Amino acid sequence: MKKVLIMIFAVVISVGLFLVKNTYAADELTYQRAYEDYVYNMNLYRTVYSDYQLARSQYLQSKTLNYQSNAQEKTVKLLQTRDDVVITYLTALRMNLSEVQGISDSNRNIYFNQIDSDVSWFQNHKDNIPSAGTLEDLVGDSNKASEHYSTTTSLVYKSLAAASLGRVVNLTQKQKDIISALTDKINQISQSGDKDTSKAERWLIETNNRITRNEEKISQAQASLDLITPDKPKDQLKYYNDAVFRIQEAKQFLKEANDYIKEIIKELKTAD
Amino acid sequence: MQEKNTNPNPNEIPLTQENVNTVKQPQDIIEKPKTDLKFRLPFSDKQKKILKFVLIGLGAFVALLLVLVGIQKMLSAFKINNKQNEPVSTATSKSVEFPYDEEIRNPSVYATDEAILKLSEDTSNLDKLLDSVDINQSHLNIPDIKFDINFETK
Repeated sequence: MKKVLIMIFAVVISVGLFLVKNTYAADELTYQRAYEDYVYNMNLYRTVYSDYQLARSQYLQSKTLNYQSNAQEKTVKLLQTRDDVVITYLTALRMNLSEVQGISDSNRNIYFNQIDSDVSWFQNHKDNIPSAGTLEDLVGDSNKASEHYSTTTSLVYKSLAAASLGRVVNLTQKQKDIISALTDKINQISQSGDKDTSKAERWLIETNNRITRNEEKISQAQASLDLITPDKPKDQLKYYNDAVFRIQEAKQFLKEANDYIKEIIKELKTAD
Repeated sequence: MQEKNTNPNPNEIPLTQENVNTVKQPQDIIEKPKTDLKFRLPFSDKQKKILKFVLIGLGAFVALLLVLVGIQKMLSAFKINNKQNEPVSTATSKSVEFPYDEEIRNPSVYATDEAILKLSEDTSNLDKLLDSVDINQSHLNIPDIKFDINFETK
């Protein structure tokens, strides 16, 4: 009997430990988790905003104390939820950047510091929204958030562009590694004299030209990204779109270079 | 006047209500099988109680586990559906046959060279990465939130 009980408890404890381990693994903050938090808060915000609109119109139609109190309550909820949306969105952006290769650590840390600073600002703003404040107080609180959000948008556009650029820079590095290995191989074949490599060498020059064009586009994208600043809120989206367009072009040159490499490999695999 | 016995056989039991009740029914005649065939565990009452609690607990635990697995499956299915709803890259690079896709008819000595095969594999992997890289990140577009909060009539 004792043995049976011990065995049962051992099984139960093992399964329990396994589940606890998995639960902790699931709690680890990843980009996916941060993004899900943001989506959840965004959906909540939409509901809360509808409630606020209803409460507002009821109050404006009939300015009773009851409607005023309801409008205050819904506005407080709206401001807090809106702050949560910004906080979780910035956290998702941070996690997105953290998982992208191709960004230097110093650049990444600059973005992280700016994002953390903004997250702290919105967290502080949320904590200081008075639950019993007047409607005028709440409007003032909303305006403070609005003013700060213009600096946040420049950070958002820069972070998004930096993440995309980092991805393409990383792929460019991979491409360069392949080209370097291919160049070594062509030189080796050329020295051995087993095969005529003149065609492959010419094509390799074309491939390197594509990489040069790719790097030009990366530089242009970086220049557009640098133009995104908080003091030019109207131009932020324009510069962001420009940066994304250059990154797309850089990617296209990379794709062409990769196709050329495939052709060179085929040429090397084919007898003269 | 004595009632005439109409029974032709004197040994036969007369058919009266009393006799009908006393006649054994077939199911009474057939001996009922012993139903007390319980498997007796060699445990004391206290041990049996503990075992009962453990088994109930284990059953509840397994049921809970099944519910959790079910929820996890549902969430996975939901995620897959969401992924399917995401915009799909419209790249059609495979629709046209490029020269490197054609079969090599006269292979050189380097057709099976290890370094060349590795380069070929790396190039294919990079191709997949280039096709899947998300530049626009439209799912992370800046959130549409309203800052115009006021209580003034227009």
